[in-house]
Amino acid sequence: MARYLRNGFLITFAILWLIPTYLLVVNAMTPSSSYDGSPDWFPGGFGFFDNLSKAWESADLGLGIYNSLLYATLSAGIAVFAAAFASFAVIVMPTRRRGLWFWLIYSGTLLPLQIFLAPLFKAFVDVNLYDTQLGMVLIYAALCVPFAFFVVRNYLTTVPDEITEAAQLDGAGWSRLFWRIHLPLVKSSLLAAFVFQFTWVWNDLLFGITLSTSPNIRPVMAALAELNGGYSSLGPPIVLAAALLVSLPTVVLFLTFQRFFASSLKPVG
Amino acid sequence: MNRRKSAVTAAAIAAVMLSACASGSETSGGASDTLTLNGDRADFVEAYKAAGEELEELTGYGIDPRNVPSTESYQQVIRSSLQSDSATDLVKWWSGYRLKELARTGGLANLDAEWEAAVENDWVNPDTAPSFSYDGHVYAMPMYKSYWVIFYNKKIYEDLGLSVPTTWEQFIGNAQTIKDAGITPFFGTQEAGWTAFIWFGEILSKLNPEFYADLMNGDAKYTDEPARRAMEIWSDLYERGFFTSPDVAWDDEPALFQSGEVAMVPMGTWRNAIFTDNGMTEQDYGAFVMPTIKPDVTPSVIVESGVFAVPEKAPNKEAAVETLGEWLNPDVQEVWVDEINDISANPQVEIENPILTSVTEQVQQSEPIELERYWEASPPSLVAGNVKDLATFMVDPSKENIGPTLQRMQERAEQEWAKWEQE
Amino acid sequence: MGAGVTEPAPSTAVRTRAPGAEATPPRPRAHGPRARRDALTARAGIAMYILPALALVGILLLVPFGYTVYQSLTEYDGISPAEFVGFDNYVTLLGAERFHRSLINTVIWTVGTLLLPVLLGLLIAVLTNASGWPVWVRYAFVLPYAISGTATGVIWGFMLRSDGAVNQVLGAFGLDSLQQEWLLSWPMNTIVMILAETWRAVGISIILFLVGLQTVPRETVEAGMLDGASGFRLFRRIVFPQLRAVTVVVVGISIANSLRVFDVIWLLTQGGPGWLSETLAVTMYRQTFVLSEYGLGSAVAVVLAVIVVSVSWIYLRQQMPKRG
Repeated sequence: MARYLRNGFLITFAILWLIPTYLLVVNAMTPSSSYDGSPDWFPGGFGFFDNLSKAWESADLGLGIYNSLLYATLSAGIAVFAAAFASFAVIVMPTRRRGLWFWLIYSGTLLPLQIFLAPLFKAFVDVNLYDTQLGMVLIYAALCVPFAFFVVRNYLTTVPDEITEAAQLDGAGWSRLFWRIHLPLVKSSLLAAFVFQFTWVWNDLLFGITLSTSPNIRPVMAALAELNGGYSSLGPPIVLAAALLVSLPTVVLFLTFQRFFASSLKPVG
Repeated sequence: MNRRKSAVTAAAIAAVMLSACASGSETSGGASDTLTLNGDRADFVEAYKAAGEELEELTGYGIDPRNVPSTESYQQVIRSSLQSDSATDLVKWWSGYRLKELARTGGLANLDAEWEAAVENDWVNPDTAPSFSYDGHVYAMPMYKSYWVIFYNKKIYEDLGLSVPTTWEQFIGNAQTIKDAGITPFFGTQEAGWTAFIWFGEILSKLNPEFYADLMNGDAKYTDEPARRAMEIWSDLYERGFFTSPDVAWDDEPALFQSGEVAMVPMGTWRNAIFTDNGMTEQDYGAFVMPTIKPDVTPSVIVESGVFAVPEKAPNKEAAVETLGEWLNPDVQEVWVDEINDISANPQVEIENPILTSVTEQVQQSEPIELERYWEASPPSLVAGNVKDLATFMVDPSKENIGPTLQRMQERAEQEWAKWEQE
Repeated sequence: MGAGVTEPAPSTAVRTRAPGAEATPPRPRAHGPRARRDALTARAGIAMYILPALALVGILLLVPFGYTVYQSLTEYDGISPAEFVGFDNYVTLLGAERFHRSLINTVIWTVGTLLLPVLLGLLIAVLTNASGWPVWVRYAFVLPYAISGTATGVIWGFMLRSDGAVNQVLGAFGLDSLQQEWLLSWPMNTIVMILAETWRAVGISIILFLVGLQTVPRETVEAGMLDGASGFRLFRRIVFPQLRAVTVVVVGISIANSLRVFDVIWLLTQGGPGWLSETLAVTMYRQTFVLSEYGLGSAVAVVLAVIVVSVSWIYLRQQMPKRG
């Protein structure tokens, strides 16, 4: 009985969850000329590649994808390592004022993002970071650090003290402890943080459109935004087709790591 | 391998990668014979380039356009960059009070001489100067001159045996026939935010254009009789079921209009570009200026012009000012309006698009007074707030809601006008 | 590999993690230049570990926030020089009816997103973790998180507008009486947007809980089963307590995200109709970037930041695992 209930619950919710995704795919395939202003439930033709090529023509999606790959990989990578270092310091090392350091770093994820836009724009212009790849990598890395720090820090607390102590008795220094003992133990949390932050950077629009403007700097979501909006003659099917395409990398990443999380994770300790 | 060494190596690699990062192709000190232009309309970029080529022949300076794909972010970028030397040489902006807001801070270059020259050449109607001026000085040049009209679906009109209305009664009669045929007569939505003012402005200007102008300038009150009457008419039309749902997507409007789900769309002639792009021709749709509500009302039409301005701190200020002096040159305008499919601010420029031609003919015949669009006609924060109130009204367009809505709009108007005068 | 040779020798402060000692490392016993140098080296070593994260966050996020705090005490339109007005902006806010609506919506969002994505995430993670479920079931829940905000906005617009998919379905099943203008009336618009956000965000809780479930040792579960616990009891007594670290992460993130929610609202209603569905983040954005009242917008930002930080602080101070 309980089993049926459980299965019924899961299947119902899974189907509910798939409906919007299904609509997304179907409407991305609707030829843009036959879109009549309300969503289609069944494909009215196959216009996906047509839509895609129109989108590709109007917005420089290729460059955008390249830029976003660069920003997402570098920023999420830098952030995860910076976060791992800092977590190690506040959890394993005999640091003073751990609470202060924790809240200073973590508060970065608590502040409403939109408030950073105006001051950052001005500052970026002043120090010549505006509309540069370096500027984008830096700001995305900074935005990714607090969340990664929070995740990694909490997983580090699950590493038993004895492990640290035993290694230290063997004469291991901090650096060795960090690289050889703790980092491998919390590898899964590093990966989880990386995947989430990669996805976040990939999907960011706000900072992309504020801090960059040239096609060779702009991330893909900013390029995609050119298609959207009421002044564009490209209807929803084209926007959806393009959105579907640019979501592929994160979808693949998620599904790959999803399997990893589900199967190969070993309990810590 | 040593861990520390590996960390150092990793850091070095990261540093090299970071230092190899590119700078923006459009922001890192472009060639001195091109002017940078910033805007918030991706669909104009090709047209800027085309017009730029013509301008280059006249002045020696071409145009290198950029675009910020969100109006909010764009405004913020311009506001912040006006104070610094990071401004582009040319900026797209709005006319009326939105321009005054920038001009009064001293951030824009004076274009009096260029405007005078254009007037002497008959390139622009001198009566429109106030839309581009602050304190008696011109600070911007009009990009185009859009008339606000009702686009109508010709197939629906033909199927139902309707003709283009010349009186309010015919207009409403047409709507009723369309409604009876199971088609939504009017497009109206608050979904995109700003779109909420469209019907209010249209109805009020066709009811009492003099009052409309006074209200916009702060010389009349939202609680006065004509405003109340306009809201009642709007409410009546809602009661008769003439409008689309107030949450229909504005992005869907071209598709709804083309597929015949909606028969009539009130919009500036700039919308013509999208309809044409979507493959609609003069067989499919036409446009008319909405008839006045009573025959004795002065004919009027709402006009809208996007503008170009030059920041005082623009890197190529002199060249940018000179270029705007040639902006209204018919050689430039012909290329430009052909690209954007709208009407030129230069009355000499011929239009090829038949729908636009029919609009200019109607305007020439009835010689309406030209009113500024609601969005630019009052201080920006007053407009932004009142548009929200109008949006709320569209969700509950009952007679009971008229009084409170206008009351709130008037209270805001008093506050915001006081603020505006004070600054 | 010469492990340990080039590393800084562990300082005297190695074995400091006795309970209660976490905030103050013991001082070096001996005084004199040598000991002081050791202590300095140790501190410099620690600083090296904290510095990258702190520098990034401090320079790029905290400094701009400090600027915002200052801006909240001024009247500033983004162009003309800012004028210092003290706490005027805060007084204006407290008296504004719209700010109250915005606060209420923010509270609804917070409660809603704590209940839905967190609980549902936990439930789905536990249920799909338990037995051999086909992978697509879990994919169905995780996929939306990877889809871009633009597409999410367009799709949920399709779903929720008056002529949208939800009303179409209700109509098709003869449930016309249930059809609604979902996005136009309050509090319905806030509720349906919370559901839309749940659709998007539940994947992140599922994955985090799944990671957490992997760390629950098989033996403790088996031991619990031997004691006769099963089903919900087994979960509550044995499994859930061991998920504490991950629960704190999920709840902590949910608190922060729900209080700052912006994208989905801006895409679907822009806080409208009127101001009905605005949250603090939307109010702040509109005040600043639509109305160009930078001072007032900054004041909303500061209020919001204070709320998020204090709520997080209250929760995390109680719950956050200190040491293993």
